[in-house]
Amino acid sequence: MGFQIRFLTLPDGYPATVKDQWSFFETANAAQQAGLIRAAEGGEGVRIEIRSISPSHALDPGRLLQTATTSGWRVAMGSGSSAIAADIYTMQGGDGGGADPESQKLPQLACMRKGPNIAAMMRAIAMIQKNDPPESFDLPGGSFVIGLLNSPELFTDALWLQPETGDSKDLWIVPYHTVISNFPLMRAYRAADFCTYVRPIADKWKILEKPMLSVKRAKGSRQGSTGAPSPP
Amino acid sequence: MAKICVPFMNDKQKKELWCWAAVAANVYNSALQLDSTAKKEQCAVVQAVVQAAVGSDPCTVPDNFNDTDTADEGLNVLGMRDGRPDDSSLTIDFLVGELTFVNTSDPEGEPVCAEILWDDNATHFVAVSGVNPTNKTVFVEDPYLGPGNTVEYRFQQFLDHYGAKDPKSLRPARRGTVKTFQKVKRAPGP
Repeated sequence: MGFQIRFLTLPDGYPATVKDQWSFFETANAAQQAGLIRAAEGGEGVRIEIRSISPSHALDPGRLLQTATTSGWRVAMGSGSSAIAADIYTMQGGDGGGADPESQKLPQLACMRKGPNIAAMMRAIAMIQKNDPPESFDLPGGSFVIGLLNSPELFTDALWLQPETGDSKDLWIVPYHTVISNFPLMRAYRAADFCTYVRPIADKWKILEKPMLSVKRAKGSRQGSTGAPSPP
Repeated sequence: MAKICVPFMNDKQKKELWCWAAVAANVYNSALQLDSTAKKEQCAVVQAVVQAAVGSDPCTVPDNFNDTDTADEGLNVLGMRDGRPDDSSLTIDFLVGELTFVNTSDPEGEPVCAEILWDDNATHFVAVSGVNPTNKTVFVEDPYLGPGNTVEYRFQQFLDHYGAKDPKSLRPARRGTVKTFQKVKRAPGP
């Protein structure tokens, strides 16, 4: 059984969001804007769901994606210096409350990205699709859904591969950018192995009793001068 | 009004928790001439803050100093902190004022540093090198991403969900919230 990856389809309303809101941004040129719209509508390019994990999630690799929250979608196209991506965040409509918050979710084009980071993401996807080099992507046969693992506190950008057919139920993670020393990129890791690399950063944050924020110790700031309570 | 921006060299942070030092060094180095030999290394910023003994300092054994701090402390030791971090100035107008070229005693616009709170007590620091007041977007220089990766954000999304969007979080959300902007002044002598 061969190995293949599948891009999900954007939820209803999301392609229209790209089409309607790209004009807020000047990062994309006309050709890139047209390409992003085509990609959002299912054409050439990629559409990946963004799932976010907190540092504490890295301490429980067996439930990495189960504990992750879906925070939006990324649409991307191109390669090298022409690679570009648009992130669509799912916003709460109205006041964010109501009887059925799910029905009030609204997509909004939050940011546009280009540069080596997005080029690396596109290169990683291409390498996975080609299974090249095979020793880096020794994945079991079957079909995998691909998405983006968002873990900003862990300073690592990665793709997740979740099996939807085949015998394996293992989640695979392919990091493509990090500041963690001695963390080889562009290869598939099992979730537990991935967490081994990012766990020291999670542990670093965990030992802090409070976040290190300048506003808490700025004597001349509003908080410092009035004695108002510190932010959370 | 068109985009307002300042030149910025966004070197990648050298250690996992040195975003604060990287932003401070990047702000300093961006104010120098391209061929200047006075560039500051991130480890030198860390050393200036922690005052470690020579020989066991951040440039010699960086792993021993892989700790978080704040960008305003880094700017302070570089002589570039302009006032204190301020959470009452989280506006487009503030960014326009700081980034705008002024032909007086402040001959060029300056970048602005932003302090971000994430989950599990994690914090992060970035610089804003540009703003488009018409479209209400900002251009963010993140030392985690490094050079050539300027991200254009809708301003409100930048304030509320930088780097991570928690679907249940509304301001004052915890994750990805910009807490303060820090003004920068030109360093003496560069």
